[in-house]
Amino acid sequence: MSDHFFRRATRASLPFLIWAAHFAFAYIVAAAQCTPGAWRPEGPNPWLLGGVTVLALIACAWAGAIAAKRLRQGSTKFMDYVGAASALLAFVAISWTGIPMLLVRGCA
Amino acid sequence: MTTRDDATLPSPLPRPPLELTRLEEVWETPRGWRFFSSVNNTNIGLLYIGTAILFFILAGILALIMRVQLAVPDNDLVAASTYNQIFTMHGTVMMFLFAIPIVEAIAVYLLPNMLGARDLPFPRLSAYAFWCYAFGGLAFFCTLFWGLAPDGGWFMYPPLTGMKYSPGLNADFWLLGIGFIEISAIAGAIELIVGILFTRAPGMTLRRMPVYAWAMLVVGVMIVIAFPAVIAGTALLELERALNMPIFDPERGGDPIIWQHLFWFFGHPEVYIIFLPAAGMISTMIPTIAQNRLVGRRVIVVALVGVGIFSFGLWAHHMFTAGLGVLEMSLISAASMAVAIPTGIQVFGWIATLWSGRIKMNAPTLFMLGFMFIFVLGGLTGVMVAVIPFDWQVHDTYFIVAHLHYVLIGGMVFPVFAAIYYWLPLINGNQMSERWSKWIFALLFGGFNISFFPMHFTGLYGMPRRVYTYSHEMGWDWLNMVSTIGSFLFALGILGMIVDATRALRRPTKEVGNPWNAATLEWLPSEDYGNRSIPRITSEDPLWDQPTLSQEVADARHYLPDTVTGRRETIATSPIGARPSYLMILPGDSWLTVLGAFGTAGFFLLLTVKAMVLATICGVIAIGSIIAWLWGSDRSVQMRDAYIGGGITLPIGARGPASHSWWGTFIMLIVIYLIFGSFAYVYIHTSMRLEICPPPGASLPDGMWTLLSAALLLGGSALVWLSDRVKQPLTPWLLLIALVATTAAFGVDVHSWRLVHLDGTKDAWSASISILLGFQGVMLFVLLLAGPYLCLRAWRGMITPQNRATRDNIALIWHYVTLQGLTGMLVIRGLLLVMD
Repeated sequence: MSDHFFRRATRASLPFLIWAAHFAFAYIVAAAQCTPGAWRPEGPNPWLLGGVTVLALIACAWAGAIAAKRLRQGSTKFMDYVGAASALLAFVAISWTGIPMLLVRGCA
Repeated sequence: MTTRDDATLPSPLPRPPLELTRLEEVWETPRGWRFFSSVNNTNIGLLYIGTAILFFILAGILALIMRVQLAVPDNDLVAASTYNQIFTMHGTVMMFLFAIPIVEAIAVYLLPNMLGARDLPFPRLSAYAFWCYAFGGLAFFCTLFWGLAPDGGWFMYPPLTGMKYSPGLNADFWLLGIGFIEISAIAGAIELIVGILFTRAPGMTLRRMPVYAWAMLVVGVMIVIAFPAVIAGTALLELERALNMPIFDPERGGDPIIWQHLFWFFGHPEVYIIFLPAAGMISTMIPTIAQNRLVGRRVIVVALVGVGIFSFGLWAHHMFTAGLGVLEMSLISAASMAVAIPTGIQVFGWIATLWSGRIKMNAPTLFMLGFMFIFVLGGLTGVMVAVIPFDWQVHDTYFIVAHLHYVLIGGMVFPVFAAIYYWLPLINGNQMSERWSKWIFALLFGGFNISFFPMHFTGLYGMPRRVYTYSHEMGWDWLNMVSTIGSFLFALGILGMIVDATRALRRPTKEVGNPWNAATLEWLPSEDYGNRSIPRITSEDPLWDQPTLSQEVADARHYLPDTVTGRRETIATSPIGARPSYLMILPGDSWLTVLGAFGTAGFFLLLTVKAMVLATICGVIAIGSIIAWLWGSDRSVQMRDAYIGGGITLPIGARGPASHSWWGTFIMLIVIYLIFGSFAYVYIHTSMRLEICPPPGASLPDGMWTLLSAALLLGGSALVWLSDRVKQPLTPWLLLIALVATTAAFGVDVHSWRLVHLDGTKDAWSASISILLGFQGVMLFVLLLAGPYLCLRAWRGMITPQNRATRDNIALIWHYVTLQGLTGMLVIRGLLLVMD
């Protein structure tokens, strides 16, 4: 692993990983808070889900901004390009996932 | 690595006189019946493709029987029970024995040459995977002739497939047969991932890597993540059927929804596992057809990765009618729409490439255009069914049948047909007929749309899928008749294509050349040993930008024009920058892979019919073959370094994370951990549904036992770590003590649960814990084989600084067993703490 594969691959795909973590968290909270094991009478907690969504969006924007800065400074590294483009895609996908959290209440 | 003068081509002329002869001898493909002992990925790829096409034809014949049955109302050509078996086998064979295998098969065939490697890193693993698939698949298909074929639909939902409603062996054949065939898909994925990361030609950085290789890398990772879920699911259902462990039985605290989650967590990404290789092929063929560089190449690569990752957020859109929570469904719905963005990026990239190029309207072009038209329609109906209220209306109707065929045939079969036209000349230099291709395309494209487009309306008129007949009053007659006519036109097109391909393959071999003026390396002159020399790559489109490359490679002017060690070998390069890092020695041909696969297939299939003695014999054959195969690997050569040309001298082999062998093991352990994770999910799901957890009558064992077990596990791992840092004679003894400690840890754990009378048949909660424990036992069994094996090699002096792969890999497995054991303890106790 002479070219720091894990570190560079993680950095480039970080926005996608943030999307995955956000999606998994939101789904698990939504499922868990509607089961007897972690029952919440009003349904999934919108503040918790909303807060995590905002954090995920900030993290994506941050990762994208760093990659974009490197590109503006003249980087021609493929991984920087991947980082910037994946941040854009992940940002859109997280925003999209966030919409139901604004609109949907309860477990039914 | 040392560097001398790299200013000119890596290898000078003239070449030594016997160099080529040595290379040919080492890589020679066996003739006659010995061909089947070949492990070279190019040969295995051809066998793989041929077998997959055979299954496509067989499953297609089943489809025609179904269409004849449905052509007219109240038809009694096929009985209901036979029809159930036919539609189940059609779906199962198409998905598991055709679609996934053929995309892996094409990759196994193309990638060594496309990457500029002599072969991929684990050719014997590929051969073993293929033979498992071939033996297992054919035996599985034959169940149809004895009325023993599965009949619960290709996604085998319990409780229909539980013992109560499916008491025969039919479901067991699906569960054990398919479960083990998936293992061969995972073996293929390991080969592809490690091959793509380690065996690219020097200079072929990730940026320059062909988009097809990118697609297969993403697909390999997806297989590793997705398949464990269904392997776990099939194991759980079989455990319920065979050992009465009620994971899916609601009366004993189980939940059939668990199956749906596990199945679709595999099943939806699988659609993309099938589609992305096709997208990769399209991205490779379109620039050639348009004689234009791929527009938006980098963003298409990002889109491939994006589709791969987003596809894991879509599984539950197959479960919108299963009673999930409204927010969960909405999240899945949103992800289902989001995945259309990266998919659309690829489609626009292809259109832009065609638009700005000079299109040649030949056979591959026709099929690619057909693909775009059909797949886009399938994608649009996919967005429609991602809308929950619409899905509720059309769920399990023929609308879904139409949608999935538009996606799968459009998204995978048409690109594969284009690929067959495009890459068939690689086999013997002959192309298929352009004149015939127009007729064949017309039959396939027309037949497909005539068959499947009306099904949208049949579904909207309310015809449910999987009914074996219908009455005239329903008004579905003419739509079904049209679909049947279309299906036969489609079949005629397939027949024409087979005849044409056979004609081309039977013609005398001629020089392959570069008939399409393609840019990728598979069109370099190639023999059994791959390219005469391994090319140095400086561009994304090497055959366009390095116009003399083909001649240079054929003249042995590039890297490794000889066999340095007298064995099969290729250059291992670094995963990102593709810098030469070591000389990778590859195993030669062997019957052991065939024998091992035969034993493995026999074990699973005979286990299904409860022929325990024969199954045990087959199991012993399988394990014996694999041990014999491994025993001959990891042998030292009498050299430490190898000169490969271009002033570069490389070490022979590598150790730890720098070696391909370590990576293969590491990826396999990820698969196992995800299977374990699926079992852990079952425990969490089951627990969360309980009003009181643990359920009445059940309890956790005393924490002291758990701590003791954890300490023993950690002690075992510590001893393994220490065994690498003591003098050689002590190593095996420390390993044996470690084995005792790890075994004792398991014994303590089992004993503690026996003290609290854990009964895996009593309720789902107890069953889920028993399964977690049992899986730890399975891994301990692996260690009980691997530990003494390692000791034996150490005693025989076969663990040396140059030959550490066996030692490193078994140590990795050992630490993994510790990790899995500790994770199990944490999950079981931690969840209850969280719930409290």
